[in-house]
Amino acid sequence: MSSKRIGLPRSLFFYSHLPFWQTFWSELGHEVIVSPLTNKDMLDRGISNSVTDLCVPVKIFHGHISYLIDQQVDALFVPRMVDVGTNDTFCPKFLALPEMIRCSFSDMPVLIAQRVDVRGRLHLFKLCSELQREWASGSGVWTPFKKARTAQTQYETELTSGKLPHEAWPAFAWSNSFKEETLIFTREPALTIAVLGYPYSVYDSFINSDVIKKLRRLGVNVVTAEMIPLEKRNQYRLSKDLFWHYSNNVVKSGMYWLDQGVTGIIHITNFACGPDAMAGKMLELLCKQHGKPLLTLTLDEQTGQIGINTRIEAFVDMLQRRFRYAHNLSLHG
Amino acid sequence: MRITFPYMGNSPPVFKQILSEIGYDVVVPPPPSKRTLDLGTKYAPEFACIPFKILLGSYLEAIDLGADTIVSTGGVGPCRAGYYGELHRGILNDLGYDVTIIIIEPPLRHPTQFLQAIKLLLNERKVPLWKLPDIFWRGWLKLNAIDHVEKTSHDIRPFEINKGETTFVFRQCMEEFDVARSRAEIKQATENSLRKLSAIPQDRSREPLKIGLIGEIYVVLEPFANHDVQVKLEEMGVLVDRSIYLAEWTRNNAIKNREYEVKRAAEPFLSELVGGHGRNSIGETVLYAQQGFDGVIQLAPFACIPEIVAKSILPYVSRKLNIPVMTLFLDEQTGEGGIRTRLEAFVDMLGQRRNKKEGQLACVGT
Repeated sequence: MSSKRIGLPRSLFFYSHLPFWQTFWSELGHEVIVSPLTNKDMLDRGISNSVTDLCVPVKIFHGHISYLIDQQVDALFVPRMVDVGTNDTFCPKFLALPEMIRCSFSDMPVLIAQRVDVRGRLHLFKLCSELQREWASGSGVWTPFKKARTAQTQYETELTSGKLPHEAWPAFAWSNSFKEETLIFTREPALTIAVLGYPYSVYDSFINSDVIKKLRRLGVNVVTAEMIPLEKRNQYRLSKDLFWHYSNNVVKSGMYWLDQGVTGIIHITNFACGPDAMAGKMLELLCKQHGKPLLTLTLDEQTGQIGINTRIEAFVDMLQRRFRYAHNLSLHG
Repeated sequence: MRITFPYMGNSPPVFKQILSEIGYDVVVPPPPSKRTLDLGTKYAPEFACIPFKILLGSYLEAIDLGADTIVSTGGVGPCRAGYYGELHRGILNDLGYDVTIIIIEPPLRHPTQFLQAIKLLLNERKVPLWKLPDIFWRGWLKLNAIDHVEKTSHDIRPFEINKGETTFVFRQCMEEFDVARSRAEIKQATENSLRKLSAIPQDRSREPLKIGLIGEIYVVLEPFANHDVQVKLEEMGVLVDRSIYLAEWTRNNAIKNREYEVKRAAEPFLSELVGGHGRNSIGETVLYAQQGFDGVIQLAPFACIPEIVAKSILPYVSRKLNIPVMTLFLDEQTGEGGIRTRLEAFVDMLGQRRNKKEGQLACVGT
């Protein structure tokens, strides 16, 4: 079978699984086109191609798809995320993503909409061999699968060692001016802030106006949900687990970082995000129990840089003062 | 133990009867009002859906009236409704109320939690166990009877000659049901209600437009949440078929899984279960189109995830099957005037569309 151009949108769950799929498809002998980091043009395309009530990450996903369609790809890889072996599922918008995409664009290349329901290693292999049979009957499946797994494991290890996706996987890298931006001004006392939220909001530097970089510039030590090893996060239990994979991650990471004694938490959420209405409230109650400050940043397509700057600076200033005079200040303002 | 329960549509008399016969002191929450919603909105997360806010407000009102226990249902997602109980508990405890929330989880998926909840519920019963089946059976009969009477009222209202008469008579019927407890009384109340309803003067020569009402169960069933859309439409002379009635829904979902037809209809457009009533909304639209309805109105709480999924697929369904679909998203900001205007415009459009047999008019209103 001849080599095909396969498009992968750099958006939504690909922030968690891009290394796996990018390696897998290219090892099968296809040309993999990964859409670039989100930009204004993609956001605009996304908005004009989707219904108004969707949250901004899904609109951005539409934008990435539209970009890839323009790149004349032969096929788009938009799997239906159902279960990644964590005994929870995804937001309904993820569950119906292939259909939503199909109904939003009239002229579409082939949509590879495999159902990703992998409750064990074997399931993932089965899924991969199905894809291989359909898309690369000539080559074997074992080598690409193994390489993809290695890439993914390596990516996850790097994330838990404290790196961010753009430091851990080339496809996520920002512009080359990146290195100087990571310069950390040391500020006393050192603050550690947990930036929690879904990977596609926390790491998409376009939509969140680069919150992480800003915090680092302010001399803050930033930790995220992906930096926690899975088994440590899984030690935490809720009285009833949430239904959504990423929301569970957010709440449980919140519990973990609060136990680790972070100075404060910034929760990044999206306008009208359904699961976050629940997860956010739980974070709020948790922070209240621990007496830790929480800042909720709600993003949408109108979010301006300046507003975010002001709020972050105010939050950091507040934390610092609180940190310094903690013994003299009442916890309740 | 003073117990209360979620208020939804016409079901309160049924829950009141069941719980009080088991031996509880039942606090029936007042019907949802502006005050209920304001209370709920104040303490609920901003983007929680409107059923969550109304229920929270209604629990707070019931607590004011002396309730100390709330019985509610759980779920398995991915719709948020399955997590309502947990979060309501968190919020109420945070506000400093010492209330017990008993959450009845689906028996097959969470057997232990289900049994625990049932045990808690039956701990303070004042009747022997053998009486329970009869109590539940009569509750069930009553629920079915109420739904039957309500359905009949919806068949009559578009044809009524004196506007508002059906609503008036229906309210009387509900009062009768409120006190009917034994099998004979329920039967009697049903007969009386049907007789009263059929005595309403009607003009059967009308040929009303037919609209299907689909969407999320709470906003479809609770007139306060949807600004009484169904009655408004019927008083404009439209025959409205509502996709959800509580008794039927319970039969199809909790007891047996019998919604094959709807699922099969939705299959070409959405093959995955997306929680809530997302897939049903698609399937029902397809069925309404096949049955020759003039249009479909989707009711959904603002930020309801399954219904947003449905909404982004519905324009495609609408184009393919040539049936107009209008979506109304409802939240605490929704104004009655806005709803009325949109309903009138939609009905006007459907009327013109019917007159103009070719049906070349634009067919998606949002």
